[in-house]
Amino acid sequence: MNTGTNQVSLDDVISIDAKLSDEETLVRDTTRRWIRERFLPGVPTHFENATFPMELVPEIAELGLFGANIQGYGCAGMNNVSYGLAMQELEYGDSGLRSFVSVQGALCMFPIFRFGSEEQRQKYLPKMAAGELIGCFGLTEPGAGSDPGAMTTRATRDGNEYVISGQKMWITNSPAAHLAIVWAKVDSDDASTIRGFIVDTDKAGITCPETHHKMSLRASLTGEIVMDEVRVPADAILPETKGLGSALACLNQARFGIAWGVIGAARACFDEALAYAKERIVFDRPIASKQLIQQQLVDSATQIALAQWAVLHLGRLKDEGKNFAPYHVSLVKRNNCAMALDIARVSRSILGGNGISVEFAAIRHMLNLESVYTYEGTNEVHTLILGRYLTGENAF
Amino acid sequence: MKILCCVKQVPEKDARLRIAEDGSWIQEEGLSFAISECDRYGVEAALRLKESTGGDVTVVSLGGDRATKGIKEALAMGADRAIHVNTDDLMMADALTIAKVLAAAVKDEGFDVVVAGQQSDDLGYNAVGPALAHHLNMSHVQIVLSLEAVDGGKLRVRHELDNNLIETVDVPTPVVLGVQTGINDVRYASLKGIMGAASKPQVKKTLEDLGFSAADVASRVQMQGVAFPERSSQAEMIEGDPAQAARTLVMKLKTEAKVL
Repeated sequence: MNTGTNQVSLDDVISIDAKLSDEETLVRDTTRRWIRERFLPGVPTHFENATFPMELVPEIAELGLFGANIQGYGCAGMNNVSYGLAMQELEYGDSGLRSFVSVQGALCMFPIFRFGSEEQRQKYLPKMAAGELIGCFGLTEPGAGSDPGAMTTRATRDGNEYVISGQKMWITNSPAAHLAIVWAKVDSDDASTIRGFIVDTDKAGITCPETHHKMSLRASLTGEIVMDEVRVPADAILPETKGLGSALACLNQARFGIAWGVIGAARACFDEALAYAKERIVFDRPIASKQLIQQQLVDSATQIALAQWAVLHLGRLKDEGKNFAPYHVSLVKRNNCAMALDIARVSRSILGGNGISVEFAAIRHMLNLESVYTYEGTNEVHTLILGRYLTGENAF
Repeated sequence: MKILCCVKQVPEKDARLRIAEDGSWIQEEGLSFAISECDRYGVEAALRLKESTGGDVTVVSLGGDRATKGIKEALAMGADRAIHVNTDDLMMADALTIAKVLAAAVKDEGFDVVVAGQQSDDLGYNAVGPALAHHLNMSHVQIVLSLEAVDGGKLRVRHELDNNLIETVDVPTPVVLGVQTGINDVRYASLKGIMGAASKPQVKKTLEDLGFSAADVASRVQMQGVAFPERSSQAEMIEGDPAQAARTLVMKLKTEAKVL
């Protein structure tokens, strides 16, 4: 599907459609059309006002984007390549929108599906797929970011209940969430005792204040989860969670989506810069006719195309269910986030002075991508994961 | 009601087109294809009719393997089953031949309503619908702007006539409707619908299955050549006060442009 701007589509640069099934291209094209028609017109205002378009949640659910690669429970049951393509198109709109959908699906629905009881799945997943229940994922703490094992949130067993106390921060969706997947140490300082809990946010003792003054992901709700002796029933624990690895498995799902998503952000910047370069006249010629601009455009298109090849390979490995390892995800998440951030900056530059206005997409994506570069494993953390894989030496 | 809607896969409307080496058509290699725009509104109109009257929607498409994507999209949007006349041989055929083949593929189904796009985005013959009505012995209404079911098994149809006249008529079924773009808000296929499309009933028919020989479907129209519209940047500024400028403009439109 073309971009609607009557210019070359980056899909055609690598003829990606030739390697996608009908279903995969339909998922991409449908999400793409929805983004262009329903989301893009309003996002500059939401970014300026630091609001998320909650009114679109029912439409997102109707499309089937929440937990789209989960089988059953009202979910679309797509393969991972289709899921990735959808993430890409969502982030063409805004990283905040993709984050909303990633958190709901990969960080909340996935752990309930993977680590939850059948009763928990039945209770939560259909309503989350329908967008009736919104979730958030509480792992990061003020003193525990890249080292989540240092968390201080505690869950103490008391009869048929757990009592949870602690503070989580930088939590996407928390101000709007009906439930939180909270990670806590159960009566111990040992990282291996970290377990996941489904905590309804209307419980006594829990508040989710919004985080203000962000200069990035402004069209996304971010907040804290503050828990002061929150009592949850014993069956709120996700029974199959076993240590920090369970939380990291969720992050790996989300990182896969991010690796695809940032391509969308980069493509949005590239499409805009290319269109602008063909229109903008400097020294009597469009700037697209200048060698310096052409080099920037060609470098950008090349990097996006290579990133696209990489995620397609990654998606196929994930769908095959073998030879797919966390370090693969680290490699591509790390590369693609840096690539997208670089292209957003170059595109912003091609737009000249106009590039600093939110009426153009580049600076919004550029600011958003600073977060995406850092969250879900910072660039440095992924470097160390890959360094450990290559050398056998742990440099954390 | 038993409803049929016709869809055609055409190059994306914003595709960057190149003319083939022999000049007879565009280079289709590497292009993305999608449901022709009028047909997309037709699918939506058919689904809405089904939702108001009950019944089912069948989608029919004539074309090679690439037509499957459009068929699946229509199924994902809510159509119930599909008929794919699978052939690469008729892509440049004349409208009467296309209609003859489509009619043969659907004539035994007993459809009450056939919804077709007014015209395709690529060849734009504007004639397959009426010709299909002829072959199926149905009445037809072109340039349909709205339709709704009314009492007595009829459809109330608003449609455009020449000179911007709009007519509203109650038409009996069976009928073929040629729908215009923009007549409704086309729904999005849901992702679950896309995943489920492959499991809906789909019948493939070849020209042989339908009893046609090569001679039967030989096109009576040959495309001699295609060309991009000539770019022209001629502009003439007419000077003078408004009344004088208007007189000059009218004179030029009469004597030079010859459009008045």
